[in-house]
Amino acid sequence: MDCINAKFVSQKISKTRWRPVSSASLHQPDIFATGSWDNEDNKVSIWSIGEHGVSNMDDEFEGDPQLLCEYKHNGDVLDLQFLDQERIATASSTGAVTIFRHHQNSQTLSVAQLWDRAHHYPCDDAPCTGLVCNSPEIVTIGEDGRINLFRADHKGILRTIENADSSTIHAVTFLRTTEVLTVNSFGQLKLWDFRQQSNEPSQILSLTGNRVPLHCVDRHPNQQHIVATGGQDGMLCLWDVRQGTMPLSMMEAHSAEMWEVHFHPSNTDHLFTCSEDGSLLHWESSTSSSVPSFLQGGRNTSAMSRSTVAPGDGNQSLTSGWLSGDSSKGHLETTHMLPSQTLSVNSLDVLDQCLVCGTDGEAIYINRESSDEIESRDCGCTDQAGARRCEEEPGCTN
Amino acid sequence: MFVARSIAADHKDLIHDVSYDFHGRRMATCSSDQSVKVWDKSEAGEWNCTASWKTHSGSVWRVTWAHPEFGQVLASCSFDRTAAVWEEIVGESNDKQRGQSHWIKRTTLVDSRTSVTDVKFAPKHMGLMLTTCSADGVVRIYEAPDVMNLSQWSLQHEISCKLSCSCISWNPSSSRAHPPMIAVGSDDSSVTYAGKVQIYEYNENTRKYAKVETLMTVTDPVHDIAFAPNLGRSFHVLAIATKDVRIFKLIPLRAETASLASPTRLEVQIVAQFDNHNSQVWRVSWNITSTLLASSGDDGCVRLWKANYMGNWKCTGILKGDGSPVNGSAGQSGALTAGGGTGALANQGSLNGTSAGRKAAQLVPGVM
Amino acid sequence: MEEVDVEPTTTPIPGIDFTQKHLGFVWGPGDILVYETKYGATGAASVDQGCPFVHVVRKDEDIYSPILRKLFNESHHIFVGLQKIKEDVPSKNKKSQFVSISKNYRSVIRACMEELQQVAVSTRDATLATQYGNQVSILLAVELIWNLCEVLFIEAAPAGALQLHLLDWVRLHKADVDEKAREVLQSESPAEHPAYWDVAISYVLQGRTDEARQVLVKQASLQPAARLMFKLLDSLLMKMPVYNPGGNQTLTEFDVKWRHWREECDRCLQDNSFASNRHLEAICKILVGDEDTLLEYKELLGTWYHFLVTRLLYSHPTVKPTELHYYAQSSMDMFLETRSGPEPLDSILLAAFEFDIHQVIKDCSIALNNWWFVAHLTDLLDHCKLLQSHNLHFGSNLREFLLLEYGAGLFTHHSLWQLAVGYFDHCPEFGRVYLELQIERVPLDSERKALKVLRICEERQMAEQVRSICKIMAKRALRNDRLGSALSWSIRAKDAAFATLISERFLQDYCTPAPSYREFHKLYGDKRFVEAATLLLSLMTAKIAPQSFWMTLLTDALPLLEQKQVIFSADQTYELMHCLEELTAGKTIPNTDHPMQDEDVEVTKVELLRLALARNLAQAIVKEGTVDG
Repeated sequence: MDCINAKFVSQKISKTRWRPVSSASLHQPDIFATGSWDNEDNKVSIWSIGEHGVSNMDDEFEGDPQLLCEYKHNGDVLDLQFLDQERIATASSTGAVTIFRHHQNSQTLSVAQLWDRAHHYPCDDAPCTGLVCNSPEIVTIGEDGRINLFRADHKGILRTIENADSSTIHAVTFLRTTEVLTVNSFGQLKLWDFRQQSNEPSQILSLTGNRVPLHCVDRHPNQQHIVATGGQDGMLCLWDVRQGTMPLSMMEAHSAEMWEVHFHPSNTDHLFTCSEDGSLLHWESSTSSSVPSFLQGGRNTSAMSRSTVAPGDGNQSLTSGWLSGDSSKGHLETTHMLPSQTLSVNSLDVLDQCLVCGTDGEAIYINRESSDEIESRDCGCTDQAGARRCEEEPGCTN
Repeated sequence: MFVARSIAADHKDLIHDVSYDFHGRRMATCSSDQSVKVWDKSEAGEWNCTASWKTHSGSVWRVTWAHPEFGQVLASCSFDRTAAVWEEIVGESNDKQRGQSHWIKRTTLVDSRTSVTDVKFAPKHMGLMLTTCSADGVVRIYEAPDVMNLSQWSLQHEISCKLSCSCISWNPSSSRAHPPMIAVGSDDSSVTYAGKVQIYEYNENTRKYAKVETLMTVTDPVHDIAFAPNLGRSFHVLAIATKDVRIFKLIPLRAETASLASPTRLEVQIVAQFDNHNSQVWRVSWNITSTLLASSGDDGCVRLWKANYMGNWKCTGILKGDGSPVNGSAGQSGALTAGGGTGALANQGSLNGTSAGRKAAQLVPGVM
Repeated sequence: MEEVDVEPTTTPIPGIDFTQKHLGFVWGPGDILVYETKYGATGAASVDQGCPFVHVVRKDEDIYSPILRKLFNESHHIFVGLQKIKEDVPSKNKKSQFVSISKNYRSVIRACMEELQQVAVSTRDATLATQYGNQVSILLAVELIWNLCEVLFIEAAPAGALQLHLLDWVRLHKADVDEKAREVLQSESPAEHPAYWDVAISYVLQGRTDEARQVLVKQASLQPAARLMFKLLDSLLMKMPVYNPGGNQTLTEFDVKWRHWREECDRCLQDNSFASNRHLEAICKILVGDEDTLLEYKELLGTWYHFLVTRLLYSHPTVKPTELHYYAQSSMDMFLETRSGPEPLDSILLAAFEFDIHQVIKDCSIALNNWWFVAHLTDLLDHCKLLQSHNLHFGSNLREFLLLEYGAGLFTHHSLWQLAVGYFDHCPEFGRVYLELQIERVPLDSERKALKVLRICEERQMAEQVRSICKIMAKRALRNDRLGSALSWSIRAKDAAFATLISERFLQDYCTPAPSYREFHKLYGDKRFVEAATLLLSLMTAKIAPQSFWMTLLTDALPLLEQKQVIFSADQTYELMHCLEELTAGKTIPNTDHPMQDEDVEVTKVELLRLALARNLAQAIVKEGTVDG
């Protein structure tokens, strides 16, 4: 009994990202990039799940990702993001920041820009732990506590905030064009406004009495003041950066580090988290049942059947579900999206009806649901967290 | 097995020792050219020399790394009668960008009046302690009481072994049931009848090291000695390089009176003895889990030994110089993964501790 | 048990003259370094220049194959699933679970094999092609052996069903018949194709009577004169009884039916019904199990075990498991008599037919280059409770020995160490200590990796490894002047002394010049417990209270330090730390091994205070940053 298909790729995957779909086209995303880590030779790879890949031999099932091209990456890929349709920015454990160009005619990759030692200690290399793109600007962060601002077409560094943090900065996101938010290993959220010349954060938020490191952050696609963070203890927090220094809501999501959290870019009452504990969770803030549910096709069940039918409270705004934030009250449903796994799910990305994630078990999982592809499947039982886990036979391969 | 890479070490004289750091990402080499070199493994797996400096005024016999909990620290010992402690420092310069790092001497230990033949750090649970042994027959144990200040070392213990010492090995067991224990080997050939391996143990009451055992059956010169990782067992395993390779089991006998004051008595059992090297054996060393023992001898070979699940030891592999020129003598030859070829498919050790040189092709079912 | 004694392989090291020099070595994490040296040197300047090379010697090569990595990753998943099968599941249900797990393992082998086959064909590098080809051969052998073990040991089919399983086994591993058949049937005139009769007879040899009949029809239509003869054979083939284990028919009923059919075949031979066509006559002779005829088709059979299965099919279709070894041995002798003696694969299969599981495992570990196969197969057989009942006094130790070897091998690989954890977890005797020894050697290239290693250790309560990893990271952060990181790592390491030390540096760097702590009294004026805290501090710092009373005061500070909200500021915390250090400076901390309880309590108290102070300091720094911003 399989829910989504695994593709084994012989490298530990640290990052997976869909190539953005141009707003004009009605296409579903079909190209994604991956980055690897902890291999002797790390790579950035481009994959296709559409037709324009290498046309496929015999019986491989449709949608099995095909490798289009790859390029050696010096050091672990600690972060990766599409700058635009053709360019990809990566963060390396060597401290380098690289922009790769994907030549779609020849299906090759090349290095368009390289900032060596963008992050560094006085002597040693310091890993660049994350980056965020808002083309043409790129903001990078590192174990060295620096924040760098680059412009893709500009060799120099536009701005560096030295000692932005005395601990490691783990993740960064744009709040608006001039403002970024970072999270660190002291459990703090810091806002930085590039319009200000001061090297001090404009605001700091943290859980009092709790120094649990935060590993990931994502901003609500429509409401710029709402952010979600994930911590070392697997806790999911939602914050309103305008209001106070306390999170709006806290949810126990995972039993180990939460590596990524993502709001669905267009269906914002859906949120996804993945963790070192080997699980990938789909969170749905139940608002109105009349809203067509993401990843829930025309037929009534999908790989992620719903565990409880939440009391419909039709008048809530999209975000209020998150902000009320108490899963026990039935406002939130969580669903396990992967078969019981043992190794970490390091990254996930979601766009339209497509989700891709990558693991330390050297597998890429793709979930691409459309109304005519879903087959009715009964997947397992309710686990203690009230979430549905999609169980497979022990050792089921594919 | 196959040679994956060859590194031009660029020492001007014989290399005497090569030592991996705890994580296997750095190594140090020392030589008769009186220098020590430090090598760092790049992201691409290549070894680059990041430091090379004159350490002593005589041949450098051994070089060894402290546990990384204590920082980037090396110790060396030399024919010049000294041992030295080195620490890598972080400077403000851009040297590291040019691929160079700086090591400074923290201390010189000058207590020996003869060549210092071996230097070892004690297991990390004992703190930052360094042990030397020398041809004058003395084992010295030093301690750095402040791990932030490696220039202060105090001589804590001097153990007189009465015989010229060639090698030392700490028992790595961190179990509270096992007091600190050190084995000392002697290559003294002037005394032919005496046991050449002595075991000392720390006594809580006297706060001194006392001899608990002499391996009387080992009367030929001993050149190297190595305790195996303890694996949570009640007994200890010790490998010895003498005229052959020997593996001993040391079983502590708990005194009936259970007095901590009296030293542990050891029952000594020989587990294996191999004379395949035909003559002197010079080095013995265990892998991380002590499933493999390697030895180097006068036959110019390194031999690998392995026990099967029945506890029988067998030779499972031999490394032997072939006298042929090295590929790519200008530097590192590329990884010869392809060239390593199918020979390596044959196998590398087995259930019975034997190694079958059979060709893979023999296993091919008839349909092929 | 006999032990095969084989000479160990010798690996040549270039450039080193073994007659003049010694080979020095050092163990690495995944390799061994060797270099030329000369032992026993006296220290006088040596005359000769040393060989300037250090050689990196690697052990296993298969582990570096990207395709086999998929095998390692996928099978890890199956392995972990197998370990979760509960003891209390009824054994009848378990058997089907075990068979399905066995099939899963085999499907992973097959997938790998197919991918290797593809790259072997597509590569232009001849050496690589050979290497891939060899790996395919090994996987093919592995799957063949595994499949047979599945049929004989896990499925443990009884008489009747056994023959059917063996037929499936042979058909799966002699699939070239289908390829040849396609070629023949797609040709312009199949009946005249040179391989026509080979295909027809191969089908019969595999008991695929329906397919054989379809092929024979082509010939029949060409030879109207022999129409009757073809029709007769066709009816014999059609009528051949096949046992249906799920049906109503008993084995005895089947046996009677089968004997009747065979007598009919026999009569046809005696009547010389097929005398005019040697091919048809040969087929009929096969149907009656004529051994000489079977041996004439050695080339088509290919292997002695195909011969065995065909022979059983047409002579002893109700063979019992216990009788197999006799037929296996005799088939091998008959088949191989003209060839050289048995090869490793033959011995392994024969041992399986003899139900000597241990011999199979032993021979496989000698003949194969990788522990993957024996470790996983042995584990599965152990779960099926087959090793104990096989009167092996070391039963579970054999499983653990093989799993440990496999796991240790994974740890020699740069990336596969995470998989090894799952195997060590299921080795009750030495798994834990192996993991402890190996996990702390994993290089901590980035904090991300350190966190992953740490998670593994924390989940298993490996306190010493957790402490050590955090300490290494703290030390590294300190070296790079990352005081905040250093502080959080040392707090995670629960290393009070080191945390205090970093805290001091923190205050030097960030809080100079330290404002008078008295200034802080006013900031916290209103709240009573804060007043208490400051008063408490001033009692010590202003030397109002005698030093002998300090420990009591400090102990009183503990509950204030453990408050959720931060009461003592960073500077106050520093003062408290200073007091504590002043108090304990004179005393040497007694050895904790001494069973002196009072001192133990005192030491614990000091450690607790140090940790609480360090924690408070970290919180205070965070909080002050927040307020300031």
